[in-house]
Amino acid sequence: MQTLVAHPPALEVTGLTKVYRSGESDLTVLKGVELTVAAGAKQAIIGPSGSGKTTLLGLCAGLDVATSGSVKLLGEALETMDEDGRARLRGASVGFVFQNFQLIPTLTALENVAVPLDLRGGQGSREKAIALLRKVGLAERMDHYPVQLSGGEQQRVALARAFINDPQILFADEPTGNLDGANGDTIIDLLFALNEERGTTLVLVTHDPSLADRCDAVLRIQDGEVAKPIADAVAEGISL
Amino acid sequence: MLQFVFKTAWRDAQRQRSRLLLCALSIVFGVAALVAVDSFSANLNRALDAEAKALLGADLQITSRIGFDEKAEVMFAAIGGQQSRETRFASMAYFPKSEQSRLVQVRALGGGFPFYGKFETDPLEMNPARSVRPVAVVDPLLMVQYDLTVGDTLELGDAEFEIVAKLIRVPGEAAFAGLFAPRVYIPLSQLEPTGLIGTGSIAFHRLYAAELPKPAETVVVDFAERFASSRLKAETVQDRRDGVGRPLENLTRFLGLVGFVALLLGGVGIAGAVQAYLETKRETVAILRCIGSDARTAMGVFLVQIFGLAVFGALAGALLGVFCQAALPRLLATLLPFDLDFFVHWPSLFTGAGYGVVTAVISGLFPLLPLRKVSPLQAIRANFKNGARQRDYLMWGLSIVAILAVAGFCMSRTEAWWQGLIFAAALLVVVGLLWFVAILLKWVLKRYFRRGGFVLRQALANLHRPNNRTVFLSVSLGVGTFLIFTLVLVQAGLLQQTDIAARSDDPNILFFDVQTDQYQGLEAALAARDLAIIESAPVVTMRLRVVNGRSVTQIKQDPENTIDDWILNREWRSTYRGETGAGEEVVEGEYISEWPSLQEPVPISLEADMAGNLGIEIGDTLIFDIQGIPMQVRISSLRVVDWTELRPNFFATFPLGVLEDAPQWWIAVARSPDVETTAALQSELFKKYPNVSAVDLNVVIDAIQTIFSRINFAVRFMGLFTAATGIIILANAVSTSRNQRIRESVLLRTLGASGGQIRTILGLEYALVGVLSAAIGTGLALLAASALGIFVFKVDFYVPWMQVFGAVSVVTVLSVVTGMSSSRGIASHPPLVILREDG
Repeated sequence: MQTLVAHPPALEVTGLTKVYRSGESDLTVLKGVELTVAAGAKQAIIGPSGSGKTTLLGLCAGLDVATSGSVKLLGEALETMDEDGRARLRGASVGFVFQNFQLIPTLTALENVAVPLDLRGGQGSREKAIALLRKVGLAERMDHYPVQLSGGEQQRVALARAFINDPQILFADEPTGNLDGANGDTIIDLLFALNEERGTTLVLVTHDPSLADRCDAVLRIQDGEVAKPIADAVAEGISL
Repeated sequence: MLQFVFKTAWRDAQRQRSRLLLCALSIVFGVAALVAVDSFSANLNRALDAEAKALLGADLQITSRIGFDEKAEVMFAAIGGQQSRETRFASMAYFPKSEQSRLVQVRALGGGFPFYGKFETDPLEMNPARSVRPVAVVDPLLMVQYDLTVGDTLELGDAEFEIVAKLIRVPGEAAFAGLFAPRVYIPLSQLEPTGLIGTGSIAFHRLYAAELPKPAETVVVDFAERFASSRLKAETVQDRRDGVGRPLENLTRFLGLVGFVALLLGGVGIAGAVQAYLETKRETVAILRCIGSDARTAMGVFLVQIFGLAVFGALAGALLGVFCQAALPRLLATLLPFDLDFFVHWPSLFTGAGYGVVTAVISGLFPLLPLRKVSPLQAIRANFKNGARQRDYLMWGLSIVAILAVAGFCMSRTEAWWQGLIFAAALLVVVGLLWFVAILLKWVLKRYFRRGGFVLRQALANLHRPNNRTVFLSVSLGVGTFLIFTLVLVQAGLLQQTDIAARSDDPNILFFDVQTDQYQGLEAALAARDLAIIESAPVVTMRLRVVNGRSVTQIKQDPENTIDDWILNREWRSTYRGETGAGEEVVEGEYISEWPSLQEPVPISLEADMAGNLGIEIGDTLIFDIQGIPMQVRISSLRVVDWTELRPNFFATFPLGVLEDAPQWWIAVARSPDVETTAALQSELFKKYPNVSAVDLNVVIDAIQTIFSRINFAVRFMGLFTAATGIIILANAVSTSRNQRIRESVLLRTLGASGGQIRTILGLEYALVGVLSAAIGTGLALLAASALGIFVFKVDFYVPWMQVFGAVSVVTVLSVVTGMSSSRGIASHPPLVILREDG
């Protein structure tokens, strides 16, 4: 278990296990994962494909329910809430950035950014969305539809959307996975800059070790379990 | 190669079975409608052929409106064979048991009629023609209405008759024949004691003949001139078969066209569903092409799938059609003059299924053809787009084939080719308009409706999202709404015009055959009940002899004659008055109020349409035979008459001073406040003046409604197939966009949307589709119904707001229910899927 103790935790994961039933057999994707992320910290989750890191991210964000164990997000135990309750918590305090951007194709860039606030019926969503789009360098393309934007531009829209509700915690799943090097760097710089500026907690799933190195802590997942730090593994003669 | 195509088509279809089956359902209702109607039509024709002789009850029927003269009797003797006579006329009947009276059709029958078929009664074998006693067989309607049983009596004129049986069926007559005025059969030998038939009485005299020495058709040709000179009308078995069969054939043809609309919409639905299906297959095609398949093979795989679903849909439709066919005879039973046996007509079944396959394949080819242009590069670069769009002549060719197929089908279903062409053109216009309005609305929504709450905006955005089915849905639901609602409106419009009871000032009782010396007595009877005659007119009967110097006989013999026989043969009931009536207006010439007696030509006013039929104008002359006296008249004015008004209306009106001394009777109208007053008035008048007929118009209107609703129900029944197709297309559209909807719903949930918000977005979207389709459909129906009302039925345009609201609500609810039930699970999909799909 890795812990940052400078601030009260934004995320506390205890004994998290997720089992999927596939036909007659059970597939255990996560086994007894423990994780604590302090408020304002940047936490990376790394691991090979199929190791369970995306499932862990989803469970931490309340996108699915664990088979056993507990997730306490911003002080709220997710397993005690129903789906709509978790949706409310996400809408109020959580931001997301996806690998495939996940913009709504029928809405313009501006409208996409405003969605989280609009869902809550918040006022001033348009002005706030415009300000964020300016910040990510898309002031000129606010009225464009996703299909009219490049991959890098779409991810910048997604980034603006992630920050519009002033989230306390941001979950990012391979945010540069579908971008080339230059575009990827821009997005990461923007992500970290916005994160620093607003003091948001960041949970980042990535394959990229250099990106993980920019975080305060790294959690390595292997076969659904938390892998030991490399130094410990070498000491125990385990190959990763 | 062929083996590869079939094997790949089968393997690929395995994972898409439910989706392909749903797609196939689009044509099920269209095929079912066609199979049902065509099989019904085949059953009808077989029954008509089998029952042909029983339709007339004889080999030959000769009718006269003035009675048989001596010349006619000589001719009948020459015709030979077995003969039977009948005299039929309208009269009031009085029922002592309930002390009530009403207008009936009296049929005095003598001789051996019917020679073919059965005169069916309950109890059996009670044909009054064979009785010498004063007995009567009456319509079941009368038995129910006046609580009559066998053994009760009824009075006709001065005679009393014992009811010996209830009428079940007379050869050649449908049950509805007695709806307007119930039939009362009496022996011909008992007619005279009633005192109802005298000189100038309105009656039809018939002679039925069978076992003729020569075929009936030969008799008609041999005696043609003598029939004409004695003003007789002859009808053979073949004439009757055509007369009975043609309207029914026209009705089934029309029902077939309505069914075809359902099939056509199914085709539109298939095109939409196949397009959405093939969108997901572009990558497969690109991969197939990458690994060496040519465009034709790749297309062949999906053509086989489309053909397979077409055959499945067509067979399922044919099966459903056979079940529906069993229902149609029940719907139309009272309109049929015979029992209709149910049998499966295999040619209709296969033809209907064939139409279904052709429609589905042509429709499926529209989205399939562009697939041959998919570049193999798309397999490695998903975003790769083919270069500039080129003209696709194959698509143009396919469009022409599709239009020709629709026009050809319509033309094959109508009596004249141009009627089919008009129907096809009208159909294209309606579909085109719906298409255009739907696209326009989509554009308006996209352009101007970007404000308001998020839920509403998202629902609106769904209507113009990429791969939306808004246009397909609007067209299919809209055409269904249009068809059904047009019929509802036409019926409502017609009935509104005839709904005399609802209009407080209009007359609702009609008195005719009132003799001049009875007029004051009628006024007194009304006054005793605080009622009064609203309008009355004298009636003088006459016949047309000469039109602009040419005799009626000459005109009838002229092969280029365009004047209808009924105009030349009819007995004209004309009036004389000093001014135009309440429901008429002079549109040309001058109405002459008075004229010095017998100074010919007498200036008369003619109804404008009648003048058009006769091909005459102001100043032209006619000669009328006024009960033996010829009188030349000149057309001095033309009038437009509102025939829907219950007033004494006439084709020809004479000025005062000419006809006052001619034999005449009066027609009068009044308004009774309730049914009881009408019944009491009828009874009193029957006792005082048995010859006077007092018709309660509410009863007549009820009869019209009964017949109208029968036909209308049959048409609506077919219209439902169209609506059902619309529902299938809606379910299809929801299903084809399900993945996209799940993705968006999950994304919104990830961003904090509640299940309720997602469901509201979906519900609003379907409600909007429903409202949109219903609004366009009802709008077009209002236009069509008002055009039909104004130009065909000559009734005023009006908007029945309650019915419009009802139609829009029903379609909207249907749309929401179908959409929401097809969307089950979308709102509750776990959000994690969005991340899993990402890797």
